[in-house]
Amino acid sequence: MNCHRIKKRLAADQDGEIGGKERERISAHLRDCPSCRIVLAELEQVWQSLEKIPEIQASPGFERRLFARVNAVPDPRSWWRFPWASWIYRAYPASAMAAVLLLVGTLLGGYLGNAVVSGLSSAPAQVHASRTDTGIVSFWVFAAAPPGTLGDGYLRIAHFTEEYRK
Amino acid sequence: MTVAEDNSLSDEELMARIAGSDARAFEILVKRHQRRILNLIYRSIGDRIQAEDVAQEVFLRVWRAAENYEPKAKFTTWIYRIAVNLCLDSIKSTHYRQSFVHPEGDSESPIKHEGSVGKDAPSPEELLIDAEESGRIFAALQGLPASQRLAVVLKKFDNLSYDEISRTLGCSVAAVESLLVRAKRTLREKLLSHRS
Repeated sequence: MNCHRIKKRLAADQDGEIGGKERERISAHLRDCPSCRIVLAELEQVWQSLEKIPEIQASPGFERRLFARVNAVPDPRSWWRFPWASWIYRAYPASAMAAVLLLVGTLLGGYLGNAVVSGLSSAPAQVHASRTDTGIVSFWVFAAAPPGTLGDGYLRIAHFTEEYRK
Repeated sequence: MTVAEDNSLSDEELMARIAGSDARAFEILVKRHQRRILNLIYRSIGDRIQAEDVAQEVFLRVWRAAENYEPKAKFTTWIYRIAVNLCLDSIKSTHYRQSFVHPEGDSESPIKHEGSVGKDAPSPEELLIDAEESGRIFAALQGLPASQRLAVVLKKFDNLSYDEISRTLGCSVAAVESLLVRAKRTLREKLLSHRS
């Protein structure tokens, strides 16, 4: 091993991270190389000198201030969190969030669609046709804007606006 | 609980109690790790007041995380990881400067001095020289890039292995070795060139 490679490994050797055959090679090299021995001695000196950096102690009010901050943290186990919900959230956080968003979106969409529909007196021709031309109610789900949905509501608003402008 | 009972509880057992909002368990954990965490932070960021703030934030995060804590690794690795991340945030956010608070003792938080009592007590001149020397060495440490400084502190003062340091810093063992090689080279140049 040449000096360049040995010097790069001296830090790890000093830290006791090298063992086995590599350690023997380094030791053998150091026996014959004054330059690398000097570098090792200097590394030891520098490492020892770091011990002159003193240790500090916490100020007297450290723990009191810390515990005051801890007491100010709200209790996470508030009334709206149930143990089973907590378990589900921890086990499947992404799925739980997606399910919640889907549920909220569906309920909101249905509510808004119905709220808009119930406030209007006239219906656009295409929506009227979708209600009267086909007698099979279950087919309405395949329509572009089934009755009672948000899309149906938007179409009614658009038609109502046109009617109003006329 | 008696002091002996307090000491017999492992960190993981204390965390389980803290998850149940056991303030006494939290107090024991803080007392057990406070000095080490505070000094890790102080040696890494170089400012005493800021170090106390950051140390408090570390323990605050321990309190908050207790409910979801799972002992997958050693507790000390976990809390060191929190401390290291907060140190790095602190260094970035305060635009770390080369000057620093000199590590002198004051009435509120005295610095330990070894061998300062009895007939072998150092003279005032020796204490002054020691303070200047420790200040110079501290400055050299603070002059290292943050990641190198953290590696030196974790190795020298906490005596972590390269493997433990790699888990704390979130890098490979080879990267830790590289950090320490460069850090020691820089420290050698700064400290030994001053003497010559």
